[in-house]
Amino acid sequence: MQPMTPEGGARRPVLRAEPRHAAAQITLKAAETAGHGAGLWQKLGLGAGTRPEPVPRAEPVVRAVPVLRAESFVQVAPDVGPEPVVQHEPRRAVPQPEPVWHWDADGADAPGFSVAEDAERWIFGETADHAAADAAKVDFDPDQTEAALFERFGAIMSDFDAVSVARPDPAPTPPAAAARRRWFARRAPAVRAVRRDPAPSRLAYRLHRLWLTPAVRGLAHVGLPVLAVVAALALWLGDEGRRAAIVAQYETLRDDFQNRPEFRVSLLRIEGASAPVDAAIRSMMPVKLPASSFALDLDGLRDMILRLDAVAGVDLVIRAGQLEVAVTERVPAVLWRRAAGIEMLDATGHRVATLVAREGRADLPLIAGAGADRAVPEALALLAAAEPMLARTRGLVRVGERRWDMVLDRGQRILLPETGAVAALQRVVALDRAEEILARDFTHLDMRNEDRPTLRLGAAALEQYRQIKIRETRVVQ
Amino acid sequence: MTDFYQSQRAMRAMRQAAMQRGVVAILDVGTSKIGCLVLRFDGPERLCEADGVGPMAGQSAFRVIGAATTRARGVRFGEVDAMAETERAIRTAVQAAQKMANVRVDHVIACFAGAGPRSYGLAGEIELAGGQVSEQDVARVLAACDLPDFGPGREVLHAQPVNFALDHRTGLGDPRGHVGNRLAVDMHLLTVDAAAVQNLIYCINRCDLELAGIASSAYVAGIASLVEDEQELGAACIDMGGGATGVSIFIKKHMIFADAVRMGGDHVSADISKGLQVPMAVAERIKTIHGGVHATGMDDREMIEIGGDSGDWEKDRRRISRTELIGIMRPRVEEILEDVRALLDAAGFDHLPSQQIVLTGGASQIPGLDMLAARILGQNVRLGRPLRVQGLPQAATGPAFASAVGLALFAAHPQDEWWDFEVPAERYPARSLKRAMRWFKDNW
Repeated sequence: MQPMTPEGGARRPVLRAEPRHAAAQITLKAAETAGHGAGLWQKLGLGAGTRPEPVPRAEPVVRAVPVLRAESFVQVAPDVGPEPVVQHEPRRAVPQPEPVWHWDADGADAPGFSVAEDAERWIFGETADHAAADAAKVDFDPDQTEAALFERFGAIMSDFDAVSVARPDPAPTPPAAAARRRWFARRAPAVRAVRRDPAPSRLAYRLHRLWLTPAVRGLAHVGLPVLAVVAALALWLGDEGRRAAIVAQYETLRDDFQNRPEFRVSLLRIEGASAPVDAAIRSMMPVKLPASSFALDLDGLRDMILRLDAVAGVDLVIRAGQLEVAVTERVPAVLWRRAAGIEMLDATGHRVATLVAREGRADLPLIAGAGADRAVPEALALLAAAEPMLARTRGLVRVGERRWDMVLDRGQRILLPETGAVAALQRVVALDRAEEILARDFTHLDMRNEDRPTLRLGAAALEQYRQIKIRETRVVQ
Repeated sequence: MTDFYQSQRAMRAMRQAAMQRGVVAILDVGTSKIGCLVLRFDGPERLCEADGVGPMAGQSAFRVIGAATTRARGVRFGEVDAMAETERAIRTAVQAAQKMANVRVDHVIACFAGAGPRSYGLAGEIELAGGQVSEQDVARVLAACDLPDFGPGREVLHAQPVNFALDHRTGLGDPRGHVGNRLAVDMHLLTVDAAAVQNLIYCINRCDLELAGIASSAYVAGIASLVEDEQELGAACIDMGGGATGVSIFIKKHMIFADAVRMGGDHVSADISKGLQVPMAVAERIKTIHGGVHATGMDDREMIEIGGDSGDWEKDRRRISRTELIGIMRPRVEEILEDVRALLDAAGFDHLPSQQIVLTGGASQIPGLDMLAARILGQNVRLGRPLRVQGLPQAATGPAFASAVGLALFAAHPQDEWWDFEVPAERYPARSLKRAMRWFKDNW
């Protein structure tokens, strides 16, 4: 069979000896002059010795080669194995992924990569339908195969949407099927009209790019809605009366809620407080009960109660409609005599209350002097150390806000050092126990210098001491 | 040339900026279609590129997040023919890809097939002063290559050092740190028509895009469709496009030759259109669906209705057999392949140890082409498809997208070019030093 056109057979004889166009000539010349061609890959380490013989050119004769369509099909869809060629089958439209007139990605009818989707559907749809056709072929039903083929082709053609494929009769006779097969093979595709140019205008292109700019998208998605809402709110709230109405409505709602009986506090219970403290707490309640629990500022009330000197701690609880106040009162430990009167102090030196008369609390020791309240713990320690002579002790006097004097009866004083006062006092107690020093006639016992305790004698003792010295020395001064 | 050299440097800087931003577009300006891919560079080794080639030659660094193709208008023979039409087509493709990616791209890397590429082999040689080869020495030896006179109106598109030789040792890939006395380099220079490049740059700039690189379509198709051992052992990639058929020869992972035949699939369609008196679109469709290059007895019986909407019943009812169609297509395909053969012969391809030839490009999908090519080009012919890259749509994995995919690989991991090396110190113009000195004198 030699069906080629005469030119096809005749015009393919020898390869041209020299390049045909000027560019190739220049290239050849350049290759020769610049060491190109063989020279370049000789330099690459490929010697001329390894040069293979040129492949003998096959005589280009057009032969009728049995066409194996399956190969080209496998190229396109590798999942499908080679398929035997059925001779009577009309030639399948081999899917070519590059039909140029099909390649216009028109954004109008298919957004995104419409061409890709089309081609994908083309390839896979073809494959799937092909498998269906094969399955139908197993049944030896030529008409069904025919119908499947036809539907497949119709599905393909409908992609081009310009071809209308008429469905064949439902029950064809074999001759009719053969005739239709021939018709099917001859059927030429109609060509749709030249489509509208899908190129975007320059303005549309720029706007699209602008829209894809992150800042613009952010502005459009977040900025503009926020701006619109804010502007609408500002416009609506611009009216004074409307703002007042909103506030009034809010306050009404709030009061209704807070005044519900669930939140009402109607009773005040105070525990652990003496009568004056109880009365003081009751008098300092900022709101009159019953009141809403929202109106009770428990923290403020707690701070207010803690400001009472007699109160060491307080717990406030609203429970079952009553306000429970658990008070811990300060315990007075010492009396502090001042010019204004006598104050009761607790063990830390904090004021508890004012005492009208010393006899009111005769059980408490007495301290005096400026700044004595800041040294109450030391004073208590001294009093504990002076326990054996406590019967003679009248009190402690703070001197110069730095040291203590212990005042005894009979006008005696023990001057204690600034540091180590307790030890000095214990020494006095030991001296007293050993030599009964406190029973002697002296006015001051100075323990400030621990190396040298000093006595200042009383007037009678001093006179007696002088007489003894005169008697010893017989010298009258 | 210096201008374009500088602009190539600027484009490399732009590519770095695009990688930093993470999004770059790939634009394959072909004669029959314009494809645009949007790549997002967010792979794990995006930031450690300086440590050498990452796994899979940097392919895992990026992901295709947008892809679109459009019918090319205004491109002929792989060159821009009608500026406004090309600009519109680029706009269409870029907008569709941006829409799919939902991200705005500002940097684009483009490739084109035409503009008459010509290859030159350059050799340079210097004496080493310090013994060890430094970066400066590499720059010096590249500068020492004597530039061939490739004529006015030509620009250097690729200038890749292919081979370094140190004294008697050749085949060095990276001579830095080696010790020797004499450093020589072989460089492959590819020049194209300057006007075509300028037109393409103008079209891309009109679309508000910054050009971050430009490559030859034949080169990037080879990157995409030759497998690694073919690139290493030597192979030719024939990228059969719509208006031009690119030829590139690779060995040792470097392109050593590239050229283009100014014929392609569109010429086959034009032949069908002329021979059957049908519109170009119908011819294209007939070629796509019924085309072939080998006729069998069955093809005599297979009649193709070629149609036409002239209103004349006789004309609209015309039918041809598939054999006739093959008779129209085959001579043109043979002519293209013969021209390719001539280019390969001129390049000395038959001296290569490996004679592997890989056919790719949209026009390589003609059924039976591999057998026909085996007769004309030699026995080691296979049909090549581009490498699979992450995120590429299924429809864009065909051989028609070899250039686009190759360009994506090129963007991820470009080979070293002349302008990637620093300018040797003695080449800095003295004038600028003088100017700097004067500035210091004036201001201090």
